Amino acid sequence: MKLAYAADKCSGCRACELVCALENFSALNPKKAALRVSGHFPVPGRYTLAFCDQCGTCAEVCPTNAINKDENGAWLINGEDCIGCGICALECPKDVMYLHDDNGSVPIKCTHCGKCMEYCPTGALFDADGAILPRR
Amino acid sequence: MISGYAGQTLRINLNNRQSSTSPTPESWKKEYLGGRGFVARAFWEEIKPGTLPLGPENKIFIAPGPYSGQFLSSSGKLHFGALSPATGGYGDSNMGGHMSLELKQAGIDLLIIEGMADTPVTIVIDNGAVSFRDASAYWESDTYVSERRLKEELGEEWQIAVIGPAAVHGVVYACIQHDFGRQAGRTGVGTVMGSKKVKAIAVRGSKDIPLANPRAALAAGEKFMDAVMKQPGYTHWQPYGTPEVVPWASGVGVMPTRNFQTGQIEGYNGLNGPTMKEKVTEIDKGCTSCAIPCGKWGPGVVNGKVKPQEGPEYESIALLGSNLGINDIQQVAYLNGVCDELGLDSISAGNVVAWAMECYEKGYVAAEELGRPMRFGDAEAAAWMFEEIAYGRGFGKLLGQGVKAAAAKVGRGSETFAMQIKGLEISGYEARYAPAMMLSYMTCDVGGHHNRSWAVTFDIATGRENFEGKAERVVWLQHVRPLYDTLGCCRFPWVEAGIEPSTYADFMEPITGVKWTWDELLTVSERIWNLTRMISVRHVPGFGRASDLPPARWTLEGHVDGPTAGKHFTPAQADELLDRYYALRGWDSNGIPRAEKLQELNLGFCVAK
Amino acid sequence: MYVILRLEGHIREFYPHLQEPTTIFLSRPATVAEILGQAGIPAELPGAVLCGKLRVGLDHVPEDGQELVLLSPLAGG
Repeated sequence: MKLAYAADKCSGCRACELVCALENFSALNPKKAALRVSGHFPVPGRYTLAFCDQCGTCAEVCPTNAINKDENGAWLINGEDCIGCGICALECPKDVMYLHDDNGSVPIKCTHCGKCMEYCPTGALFDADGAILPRR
Repeated sequence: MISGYAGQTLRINLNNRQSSTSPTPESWKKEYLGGRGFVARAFWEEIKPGTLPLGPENKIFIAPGPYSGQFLSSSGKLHFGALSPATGGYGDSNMGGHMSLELKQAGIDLLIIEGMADTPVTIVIDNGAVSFRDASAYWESDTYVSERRLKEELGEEWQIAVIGPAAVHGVVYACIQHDFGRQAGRTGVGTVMGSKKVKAIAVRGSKDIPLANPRAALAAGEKFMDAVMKQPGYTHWQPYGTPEVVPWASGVGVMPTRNFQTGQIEGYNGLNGPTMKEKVTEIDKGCTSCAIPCGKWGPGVVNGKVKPQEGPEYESIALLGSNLGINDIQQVAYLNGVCDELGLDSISAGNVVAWAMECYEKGYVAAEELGRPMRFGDAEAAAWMFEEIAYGRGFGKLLGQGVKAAAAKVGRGSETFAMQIKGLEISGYEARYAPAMMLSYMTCDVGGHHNRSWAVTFDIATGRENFEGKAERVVWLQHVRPLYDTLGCCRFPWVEAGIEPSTYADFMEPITGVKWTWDELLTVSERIWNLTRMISVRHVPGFGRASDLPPARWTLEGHVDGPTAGKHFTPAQADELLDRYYALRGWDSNGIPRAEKLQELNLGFCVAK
Repeated sequence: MYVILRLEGHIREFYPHLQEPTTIFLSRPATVAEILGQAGIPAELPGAVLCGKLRVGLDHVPEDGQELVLLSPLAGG
């Protein structure tokens, strides 16, 4: 499973953000999503998506080894080992580690659950490995 | 406590720049649901008789609903209301995009803006905190420039609603723009915002929206998206959106052409979905969580001049296209972009300019008076006149007062082809030979608008000359369609994709924790329908049957050509439709709700003493 | 010969006898408009007619055994 994005298919609907937070936090709150849609209007008139590609930079820089890879290749933060220093968020090359008061100082990070790809209605977010089929 | 709501009413007073909050009343959640229901209920409570639409006592009510911001497909709707400067009565308008989600995340179920600022302001709502920014530097700027500026100053994730020059200059059909192409379009809600010197409202929220059962809500949303995308109509309609109404409406002769002189323009396939997709559209643009994004973004073109814009939707294609004698989708897209930037309701603006074109062509008003020749088919002239209207220049200043006022001033019989009801310009259906649709327009609570009751299919299926069941149909539709405005979501999964509307009742339990039946939801709609009627009774002197009459053109003349050439109903037949409708509604022969009906709906407070 | 008629969306409510896909028997090949007439449906009523998943016009002549899907009109915005 590998998150990929085709901007020309994106309608900016943010279903991905909603379903991410519902799945990972049981919360209706796109500010807790681990990916973010941005609109760029009126010029060039497109959407872009900031999302995690599981590059592992966060794990490399974490001073307490709080970030480790699970069996599916996702780098996950262990909240108990996290000291909230914020270095991972600073160093993230895609700027996709988010803070929210409800999560304390532990950043929100993509868990590679794949729900966003499952529920993107336009197929803009898709699985480059083909395990999850795009809806369109 | 009923879940699914953000929790608070936020009241912002522009006189003293203070704000206050109060909890969303549980009784309102049960009796009015949210969205249009909260708007209407607050309106009755807060707007005193004698209030002037552009005076300091008018207020703007803005409300999401329990279904706003949900993962449920197409949940990005927000409702606005105010005393209308166009009609003097109840005015409201519904807007797509992403602002209803953001308001709920900021903790708000109802926003009330009252008083007047002394200088142009942008209201900033950051979770709970309200502040004001000086908007003088961009007060006269167009809507794209203003929203772009605020996104840059505050951040891309902020949701912004702005007015343009049309509202600033008091055009009575000025709209509110959001997200580069969504509008609270009709009844002059933008005009009211301009009268209060509010250039923009900017919102950011990061709170959880409470849900009774988040896992069940997620599952319901997943199932719903599956269902929407599997509908047979989905793959056919979604690529094109509402422009696919064009060939159907033209085929049955209901697409307004040249100021509603007929129902079909020659070469109408130059305006349809596939043509637009080929010549204009670059990407889809969707509202919150929509599986069936109808927004189409791309450039419009007139004589080599280019304007990026979202749409045009069927209504804009009808009023800025066929109604202006234009059958070139690129030109219509350009005119749509002009209206969006200026902050003009494209429906009213197209209607008014079409009237001006007919006045010119028939010699009622000379080119010198108009400022230039205004011929049907001349997109340049239309674009020029929209600017004149928005900036209050020349004849545009009169046109900015609406087609009813303009025709009253010009006189000479031009009133017979001023296509308005209650002072609101009629929208995109040439309905004189479709009795249920004509009745829909006559009895729409805000004036000549189609979106409360769309009954053209019913007229075609059951016969145009047949009056049986027509009033029943209109009453039913007037409960079903505005229910979406009340719940805070979009009706297109039903209307475009074919989802059975009663399934919407199923989502109340995972969201709010309360089980509702479809009939219980429709009762709320009936309550709101009678309430908005009583609001207009209270505020419009002499409101009654006379307010519900169709424009003279519809009972005097038939279409000049097309499939229904020469056909129309008589004033007596229009009266017959009204008689049937009032009887069904429990209203008296003047169209005023009877006390028994109001009591039955728990609207006893509306009964005149 | 025959075609199968299937109605989708809100026009279904006007034809209680056509709720399920319905076989329409034809004595000879017929246009979509003629078939609709035989079924008692005004030709201008459907928003679109699909045959073999493609949109077809009222003068299209379907083959024996094909399914005609009648989509409901939209209501604009």
